[in-house]
Amino acid sequence: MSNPFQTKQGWNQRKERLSFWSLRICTYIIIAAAIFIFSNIFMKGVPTFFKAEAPYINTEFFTESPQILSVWEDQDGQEYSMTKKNYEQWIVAHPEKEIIGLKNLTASGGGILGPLAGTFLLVVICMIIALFIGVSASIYLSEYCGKGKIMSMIRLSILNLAGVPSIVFALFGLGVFCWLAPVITDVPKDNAAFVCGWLWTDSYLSFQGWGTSLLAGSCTLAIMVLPVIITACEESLRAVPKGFREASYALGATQWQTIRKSVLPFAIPGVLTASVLGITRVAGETAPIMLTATMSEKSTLPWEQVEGPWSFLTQSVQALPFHIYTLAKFPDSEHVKPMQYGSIAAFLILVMGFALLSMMLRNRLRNKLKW
Amino acid sequence: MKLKTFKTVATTLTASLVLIGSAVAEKIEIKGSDTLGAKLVPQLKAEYLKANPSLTIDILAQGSGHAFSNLVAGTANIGMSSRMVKDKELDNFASKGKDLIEHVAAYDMIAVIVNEKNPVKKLSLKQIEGIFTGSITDWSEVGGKAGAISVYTRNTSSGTYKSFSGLAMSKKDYGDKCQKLEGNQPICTEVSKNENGIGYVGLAYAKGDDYKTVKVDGVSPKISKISKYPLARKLYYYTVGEPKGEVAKLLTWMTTSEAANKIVAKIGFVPTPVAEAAMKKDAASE
Amino acid sequence: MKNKSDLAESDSTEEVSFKRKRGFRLMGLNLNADGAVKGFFGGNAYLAILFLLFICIFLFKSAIGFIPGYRTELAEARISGIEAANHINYQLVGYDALYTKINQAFINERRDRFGDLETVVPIYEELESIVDDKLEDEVDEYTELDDGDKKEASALALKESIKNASAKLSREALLKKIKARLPETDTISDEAYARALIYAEQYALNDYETPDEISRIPAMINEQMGGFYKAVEAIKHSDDDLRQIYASIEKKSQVTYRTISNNRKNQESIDELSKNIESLDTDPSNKRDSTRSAAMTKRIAELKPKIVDIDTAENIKFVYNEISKHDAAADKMISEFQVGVDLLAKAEVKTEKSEILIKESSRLFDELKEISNERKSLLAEWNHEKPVTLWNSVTAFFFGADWKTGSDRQNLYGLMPLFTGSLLISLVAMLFAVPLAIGAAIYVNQFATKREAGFLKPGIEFIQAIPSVVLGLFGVLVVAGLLQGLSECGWLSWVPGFPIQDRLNVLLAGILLAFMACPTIFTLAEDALNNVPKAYTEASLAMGANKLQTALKIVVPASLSGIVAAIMLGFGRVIGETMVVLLVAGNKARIPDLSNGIGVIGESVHTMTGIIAQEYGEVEPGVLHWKALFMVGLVLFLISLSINSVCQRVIAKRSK
Repeated sequence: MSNPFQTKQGWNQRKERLSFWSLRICTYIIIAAAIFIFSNIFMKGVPTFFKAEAPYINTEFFTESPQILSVWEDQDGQEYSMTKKNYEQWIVAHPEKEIIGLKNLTASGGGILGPLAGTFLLVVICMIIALFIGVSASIYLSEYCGKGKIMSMIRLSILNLAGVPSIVFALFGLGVFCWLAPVITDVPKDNAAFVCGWLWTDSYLSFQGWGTSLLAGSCTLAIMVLPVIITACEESLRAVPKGFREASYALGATQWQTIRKSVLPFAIPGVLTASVLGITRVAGETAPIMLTATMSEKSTLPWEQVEGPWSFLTQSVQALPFHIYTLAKFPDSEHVKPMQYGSIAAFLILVMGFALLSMMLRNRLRNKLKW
Repeated sequence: MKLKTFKTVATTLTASLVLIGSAVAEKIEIKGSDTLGAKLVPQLKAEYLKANPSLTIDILAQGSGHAFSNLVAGTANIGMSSRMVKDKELDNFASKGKDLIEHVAAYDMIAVIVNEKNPVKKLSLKQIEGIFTGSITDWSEVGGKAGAISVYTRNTSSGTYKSFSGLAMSKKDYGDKCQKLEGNQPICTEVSKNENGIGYVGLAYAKGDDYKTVKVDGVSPKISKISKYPLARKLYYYTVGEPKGEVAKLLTWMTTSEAANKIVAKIGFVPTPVAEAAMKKDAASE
Repeated sequence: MKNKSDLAESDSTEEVSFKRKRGFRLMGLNLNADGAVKGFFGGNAYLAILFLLFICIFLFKSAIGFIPGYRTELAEARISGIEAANHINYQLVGYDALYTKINQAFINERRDRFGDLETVVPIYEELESIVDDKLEDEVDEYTELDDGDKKEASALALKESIKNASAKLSREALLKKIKARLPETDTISDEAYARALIYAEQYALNDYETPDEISRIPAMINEQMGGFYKAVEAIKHSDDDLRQIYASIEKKSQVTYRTISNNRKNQESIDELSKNIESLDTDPSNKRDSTRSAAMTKRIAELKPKIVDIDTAENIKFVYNEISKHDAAADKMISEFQVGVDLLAKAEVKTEKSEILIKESSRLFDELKEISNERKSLLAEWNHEKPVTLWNSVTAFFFGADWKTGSDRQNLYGLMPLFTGSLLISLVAMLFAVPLAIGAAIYVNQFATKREAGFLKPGIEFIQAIPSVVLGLFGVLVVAGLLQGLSECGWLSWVPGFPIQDRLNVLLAGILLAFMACPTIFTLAEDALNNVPKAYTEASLAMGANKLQTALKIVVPASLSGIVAAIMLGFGRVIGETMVVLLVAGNKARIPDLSNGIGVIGESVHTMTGIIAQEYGEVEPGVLHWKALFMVGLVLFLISLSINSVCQRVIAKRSK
């Protein structure tokens, strides 16, 4: 039905249409860029996850650590590329074949189990620390503290810290956790900042740092994500209506009972969202762990050959983002490409999964908890 | 029940504290040079672990500078370096009362590479110095097709960066137009994608599809020419004090065993015995 | 009645159970539970705050030590005369820049005039590489032979095979190869070819020694260039004296500088060790400590002889002596250069390109004169005893034009190249991101249907989760190539900076970062638009304005502060980004050359975040370089903090 009030298509209408379309194009350029990146990565990366024969899934990619890849041709011009271990078995099995142009490429074969495990451990330990401190801090800030000037200033500074570049936190982590954190040891290192006797034992309490280690990396990440978690948790705690608390107090409950019974249960989904958000941010970070936790080559998985919890925590690990950074420096060779794209596709799926989860949780939260 | 949990936690904590002092795993950490650590040492490691599966060897290769800062801090057992230790660094070790022991890993030649399409085939040392210090800016000045030169170098923590400035640039500063890249491979990639690019890499990286090496002062980087090639250098492993135990075994194997030398040669470095024989021969003939 | 009492009773029992429960919980602990819980949470909160405070303090502490430390180094550089050498070096760098231009003009001209003779060298080099590639075995065989008949025969055979191998390369193919070097070449004369062949034979017979004649050919051509060559020769040697002065000052001052700074470092470690020993000695009861202090005493004894006496006064006298010669040398350089330039003006120039180069060099010559005069007066005033103030070291850091680390001369820590690099990349990123993100925000908020907005909004927000390292790798693998390919398309040559020579550059980094900034700006801007009261829109529509007018004239102005905050936060995110710039910005620590105008986007730059990630590995805690990196970190920290605090204030105000 035509609009009876509409005059003929004038300049204004045309201008409106034009602007409408240009704004729309702006929007879709962003979406198109995103689709370009995702499709490009997935199209080249996902094939790495599968293979032609049964069981169709490239189990090697998920159950092995990065290894040397051997690439060669036999006399018939058939090309082979497999990990060096398999190559050595292959020679024994095929003594009749000639090997031409053997090339060994570092870290391009095998799979991503080591980096995946490292990232997993870093994220888990980081989240344990960050959630423990962050949730308690946010409970304190929102429930026990008033709205004084100092408190609001503290809140604002925490909020501001959330935007500080990760490389600054990385530098801090390198300085504090890798070089300055306290350790109890029999033989203090020479570069320790401060050494003193440890209680009644013969050991020393030495401020010499934990070196490039899982613990240092996790702590750095925890510090980095702390402002995000505190802010998000506090927000969700504040979103619980005052009435809930007042009702609880009116029934004679103490403050802790009130928090435990009538605030926290309603804030839990928010806290959950905050923690997933935190994981998304932490898992994707490279700079902090590059400075504090990672190794480019490691022959064992994190849980192999460790003696006790301390040596477990102070080992350096491989991590997926750093592995990708290492791969970024590799040549533009077709033998490396499966590893490069496979790793980033796996990493993207992982991080995107968490991001999706946090978005879904948030949406559910918005729909469900309305008061 | 609660008390029990508490007790468990407390015991674990104490146990972990006790373990802090005693935990000494059979683990060797190798840190430093990208020239050594990106290709050679990982492959040596893979070979060595076949015979010694119980050992753990970790490698971090981000530049020779790492080798010394980690050795002095005690966070590495072996340092890989593509240059000799600097006086400044040696002072550092001395002021901590530590001896630094040098082991020659292999010989290397720094190859100057240009794009495949670049017609320039040879450069004199002086021209190379001019290009890298920034006083020569156009290919036509060194006999090529006119076009501004893009210079790619390693980053400052690299030993190759240092030894190149010593060997080719009489220790002058690099010009400010150099792009500093992390690792040999990125230099190869950039040079192969830029017709006017020039860079330097270890010999192991000198063979590639879209780039080629140039002759320096008329000598091409070939193993047989090691005594004549002006940009030849040694690569080193460093340890604090004389190596002991597993570290010593590993080092001896890496530097002297035949299997290791084979790998060294295959990757494109010159194994120490081969290089020394070549040098001796040349010294005798002159 | 009963009911009521029942109720009362049940109430009271409940209350009792409440209390009883609480009492039970508290058994053993006399404090009240609430206090403990509050203490626990409060403790954690303060721990968190302390941690965050600690970051700031640690950053400041590590960074601030840089200023006095840098001052010491600068003072040492001054006292040893390196500063004087730097003054001269500035002139030499200016000279080099000028000479390379004139040389290019000369070579261009020479190629044009002496095409035939010029081709001998490249032909020879092609033939030489044939010998290298194909006849290596034969040559080796030949060189192994002892002198005699056999060798002569073998030489003949070798010559023959060189000829054959060379003939395999057709003249057309050879011409093509020569053309790649000398685009003006049209033919290869037989004479040139024959000559080159002879040289190639000599090369093979002399065990890969390039015949001297080859190096003589260019000289021969030069002779025939007449006035032009004379001009270039005059210019070429005009800097000799100055260079010599520079070299001798440099040599002496380096010795002084290194000794002074080594002495200082050794003294510092001795001081530190003695302090440690003192603190250990206060508690003699611990047996372990006594062995430690003995070890430290031993180290001090080792270090002491390393402190060498040096007579700085004597050395500096030498420097002053050299400086006294400087003015004459500088004048000589300028005057001889002038002679050359005059000759150049008289010489006939045939090619247009050379003319352009010569014109450009005469402009640069004026600059060189200025530089020289400026440095002359600076050197005249130069005094090695003039104190270096803290302020000097602050300005040297913030406004220094060089970031040179790992240098054999003197490490320079100047923020400018890094800061301008970061800024340039961020600006380019914002140039792309702002219109796209703001446009998208307006579209989604004002025009999109609910269903469309329902997938657009989460879709764009989703981008935020792409890790930067993935984007960096993607940039290196895919976008860099695409962009370079695109820049080489003819129809895009009007874009400044195209075609792009360096694959890793500002534009590439800017595009990738723009993509990262889009979701941040979009989300916040959309929020700001959303916060505009509905009444505004309704009033506007009721007045007869159309949707566009309402959006642009009412809603956007009303939410402008929020949109600005969104843009600033996006900027903050971009400037703090590390991995992308580390991988794709090219890492060239040089202030971008703005004389190209917008073409600067094709250059490579270094960034503040990139330098930290690239150089952290070579430093150990406490050295000046380490502090310098912290200083860069501090600058980043302050930038992002100030951006954030301004924006948060704006956003907080708006949401009220």
